[in-house]
Amino acid sequence: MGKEDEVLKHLEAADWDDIIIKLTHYARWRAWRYRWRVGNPDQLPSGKTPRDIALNAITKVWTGKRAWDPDKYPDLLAHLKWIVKSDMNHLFTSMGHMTGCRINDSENRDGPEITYNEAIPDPASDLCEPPQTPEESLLAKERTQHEEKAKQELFALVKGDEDLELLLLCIDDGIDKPELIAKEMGCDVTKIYTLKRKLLRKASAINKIMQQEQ
Amino acid sequence: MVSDTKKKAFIESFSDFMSDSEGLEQEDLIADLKEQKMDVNQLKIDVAEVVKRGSEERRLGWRRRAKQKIEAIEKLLGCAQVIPGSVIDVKDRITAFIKDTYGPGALDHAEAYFRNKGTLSESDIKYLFEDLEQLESLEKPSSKQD
Repeated sequence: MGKEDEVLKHLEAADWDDIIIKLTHYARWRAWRYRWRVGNPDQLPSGKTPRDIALNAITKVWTGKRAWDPDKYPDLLAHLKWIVKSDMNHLFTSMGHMTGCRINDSENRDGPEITYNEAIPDPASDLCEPPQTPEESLLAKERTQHEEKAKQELFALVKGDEDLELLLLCIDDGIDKPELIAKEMGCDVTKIYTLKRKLLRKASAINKIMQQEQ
Repeated sequence: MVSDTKKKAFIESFSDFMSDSEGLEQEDLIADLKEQKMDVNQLKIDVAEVVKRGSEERRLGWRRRAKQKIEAIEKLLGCAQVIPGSVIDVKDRITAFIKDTYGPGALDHAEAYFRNKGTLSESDIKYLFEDLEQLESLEKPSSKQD
């Protein structure tokens, strides 16, 4: 069996109903990282939505534009998430939808696409250089204030639920992997999943907080 | 992936935590998407369409690959046409020559001797053929004299 036949066999056997739901969920929450000037992370630049980004990632794998090698990367969902991450970052840099820091557009607009396993910079961290101009300093300060406000409101949202408060404290410390949070909180990882479910049920309120954060 | 070397901002960590579907049931995820006013059924229909189209195109990919192979072979044949016919069928001519001149026994002997003649270049075989022809021309007058 040739390599292409093998990939086709894997792709055809995949549970696409499950994948599209997980991938769109990933894209929807990933979009929060970007401070889109449009003000709503569900409406990304070029009129795209997290749903479009997820579907497009799947199309790219099928057409071979973003080839998938099941021998090297057996986890198809992880590969697709990487494409979503990369495409969203590309959209972000090419459209100049950045408020707190700037990226040299000429380096990113027409440059080669990032290849698998290359680090994809995060919008508010790795690529951001320290503010150089008074305008950049002001924007950075404003962003920090907005993030602090959003954080406080999220803590207020879970006030009274000790477990969720502890969870947010871990997240505030930069611990965001369920296993590590469980270790930090001294509980089983399944409890962390239950807490995530609890947070998801508050998604509507979280959305409002996050939109204010824009 | 390169690991983060500095502490992530709260929003980034929160986004990473929430975007990971590990440990969540599908109904949790569907409820979250519906909360975003997403039509999950339509989403499934759309992905099924992408998969169907992608699968068809990939399955027909063999035609594209076969066409490329045919083009490559045709190109090769085009090159072969400029080689003189006498050189192309030189191996057959050698075989016939040996068989006719020296008999079937000699052919077996020659085949054993040139077991690896497949590794010879066309020019080597051509020179060999010329040598054999010269040998034949030398032998014929001497046999007449006898």
